Amino acid sequence: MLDIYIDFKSPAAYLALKPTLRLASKYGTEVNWLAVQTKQAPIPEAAPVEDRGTTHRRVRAIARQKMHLHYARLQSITMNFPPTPGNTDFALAMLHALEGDRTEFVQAAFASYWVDNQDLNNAEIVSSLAGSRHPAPDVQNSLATISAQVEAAGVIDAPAYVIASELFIGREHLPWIETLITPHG
Amino acid sequence: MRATYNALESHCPLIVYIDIKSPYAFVAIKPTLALEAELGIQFDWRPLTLDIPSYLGSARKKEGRVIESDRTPQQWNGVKYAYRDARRYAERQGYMLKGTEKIWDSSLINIGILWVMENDRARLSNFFEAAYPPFWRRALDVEDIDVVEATIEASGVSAEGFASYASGIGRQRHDDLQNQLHPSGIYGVPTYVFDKHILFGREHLPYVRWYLSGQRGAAPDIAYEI
Repeated sequence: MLDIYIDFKSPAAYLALKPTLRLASKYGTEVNWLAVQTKQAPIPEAAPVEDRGTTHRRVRAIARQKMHLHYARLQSITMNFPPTPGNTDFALAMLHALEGDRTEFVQAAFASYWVDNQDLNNAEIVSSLAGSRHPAPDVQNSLATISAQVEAAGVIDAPAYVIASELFIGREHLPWIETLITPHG
Repeated sequence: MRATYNALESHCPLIVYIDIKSPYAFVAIKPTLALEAELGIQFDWRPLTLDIPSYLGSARKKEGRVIESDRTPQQWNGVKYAYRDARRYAERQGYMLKGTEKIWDSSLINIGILWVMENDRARLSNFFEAAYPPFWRRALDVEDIDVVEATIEASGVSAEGFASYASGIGRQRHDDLQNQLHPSGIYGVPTYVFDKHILFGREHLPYVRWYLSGQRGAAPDIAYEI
């Protein structure tokens, strides 16, 4: 079992979807999709006068978006950054509430956000992505539980993988994670 | 000896920006040197002296306890994870990585990179080995000119003239380069610059290898190779 914490508005989590599924499929390992609320900020406008830290954050935000788009092209997936990052709370609550294999919902929710820029805090949209499998979740209670789970696991960003008591943030760790996967585990 | 540096241009096919006080730069040195050897290409290694307090808050420790800090809990969580993460990879490389007790001014040892690049390029990897592992064992005061000169000598490179270089033309070249970095889109270490690509982090080494070795087959995704 591979635990992975995701947020649908996290570009790094979206880009981790295909490689993670490929790795899980290679070893017949089940993926346990867990929710984490991440903070995503729009790229700040350049100000006429900036202190060094503000410039650093702006340059970093531009570079990170370019980097994500670069690897999206390499993965042949569509990645449309919305003008301002959306709220994904309802979808995260739904992910938390769903039982069984949630891969189909995860794929649909990521595509909804990154291909169609849909509102994943909209109950109707998210419920349609989940199909008729589950009634609408209690968002506030779910988010409180998610927050407690995330804090206990030490997760600070997405995608975060937990395997063999090790926490790895980012799909760049997949080579190490692969060494920890027990086939069919 | 070169007159000046352009942040995005080089006679080499790849520029690598590093800073000794970054744990991520430390664990990038070995795999980047290995790639350089594998490809048979010399990279253009340069300093990027991070101004960490400007974007990540500042802190000072003594005997493992924080005695000064203006970091938020979120910044501390990020810093703690970054060190844990870099440490496990450093240990895989056979190195010890202890958290630093203060945010160092690494400009002097970074000027040392320019010195070695300009005077004895063939011994650059010796210089990295003489400087980085001891620094991360807390055994190297990189703000002390005598220590930096001794480190240069320990790598087999003459340090004669380094003190005047470090306070004169070397400092000028270093500072001039730092002023170009943000406007060029460069902000962290390690950063790899090649053919209009600016990629931050050693996770891009698989792509760098693919790109510089002829771009055959499918381009690889990011990965920390182990």
